[in-house]
Amino acid sequence: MIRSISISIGIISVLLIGTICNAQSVNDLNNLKIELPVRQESIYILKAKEFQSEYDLFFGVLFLFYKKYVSSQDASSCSFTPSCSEYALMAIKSQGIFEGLLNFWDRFSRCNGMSPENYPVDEEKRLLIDPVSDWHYHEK
Amino acid sequence: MFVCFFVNIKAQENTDLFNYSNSLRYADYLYNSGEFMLALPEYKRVLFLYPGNTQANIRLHDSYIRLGKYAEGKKASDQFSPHYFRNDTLELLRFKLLLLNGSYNIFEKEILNSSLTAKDKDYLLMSKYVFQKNWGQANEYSTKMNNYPELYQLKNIAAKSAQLNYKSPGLSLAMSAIMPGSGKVYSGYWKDGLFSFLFVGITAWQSYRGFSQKGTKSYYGWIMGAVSFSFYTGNIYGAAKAANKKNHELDHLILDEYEKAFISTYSGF
Repeated sequence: MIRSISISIGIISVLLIGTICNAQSVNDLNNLKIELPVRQESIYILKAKEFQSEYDLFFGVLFLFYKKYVSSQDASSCSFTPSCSEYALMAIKSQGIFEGLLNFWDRFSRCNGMSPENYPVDEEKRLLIDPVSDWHYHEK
Repeated sequence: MFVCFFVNIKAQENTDLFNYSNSLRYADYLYNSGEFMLALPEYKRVLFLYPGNTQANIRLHDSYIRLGKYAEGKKASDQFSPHYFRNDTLELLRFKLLLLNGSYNIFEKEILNSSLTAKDKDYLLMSKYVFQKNWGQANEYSTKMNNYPELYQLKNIAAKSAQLNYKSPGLSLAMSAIMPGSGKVYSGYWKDGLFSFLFVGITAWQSYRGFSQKGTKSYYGWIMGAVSFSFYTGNIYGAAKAANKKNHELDHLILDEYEKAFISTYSGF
């Protein structure tokens, strides 16, 4: 008898406390949500989506496919920034398909991380800086 | 207390902290402490209040040069231009700013009417040729500096330009066409050359293996052949690019050294 009374009092007190205290509302939960930064699309992804010719479209789609389904599956292994795929995209867009591809193959053969003394270093990414615009074939 | 408060306010009304003499005093203090960034607006105020202050104008120019703000310096120099040509130092500093900013056309026009001494004109013209990478002319002018010990450093740097060992992009390209990677070795990038050689060699060997086993029907042979050909052509292109890069680096060795020495010459007033 005493036991059932004490259990009843306990339940009533818990309910009373529940009514006295403000329970957590949905708004409170929403306020607690951490605002995650919106992931900015890389400038190269945006560039790949811009096209003025069939070549641009073809290489843009190839680049986006590679980025989404191939390179995203493992850690980055390129020693440069921009990466070799980004370099290829920019080289083809800025120098045309022929010279752009030649430039890419040259870059691809240099992507071995054995000559860090030849490039400045991006301190944030810890990668060697080698943009397309720096060493154009025709530059004197 | 109440009366004192109003008397004090009245007294402060007559004190202008930003008047000409206070501004000049503060600007000089900042300049002498090496706070060139803070000295700039103070000297601008001084020149706004009294544009004829040559010393303030000299220090304004010098501050811009020391800060490396050449474009802004040229703009400020243009702004106070009617008051320049009464002073050789000021004129010299304007020419320094024009050269550092790459305003060679304006420099050439103005130096024709300049009242500077022959020594200063030679010094400026030698510097112009160095900045324009006209090494032949720069070297010619450097011989005129023999009588001026204070300009020996600049003279020696300009003279070094004659000994630059430029790489020929054409030769580099031809070398790589004959032997993959050799053009890059010639340009001074031996590790890149070695990797080019290995990439072309290994893929060509794989292609050869594919064809020798299954003849022309070997997919492996065709694929590796295409990869090898791509590496080969990329290596030829890259060899010419490497020579251009090396030449650019050689130029900048001289240019960077000269710019540092040029900035510190005729500086600190």
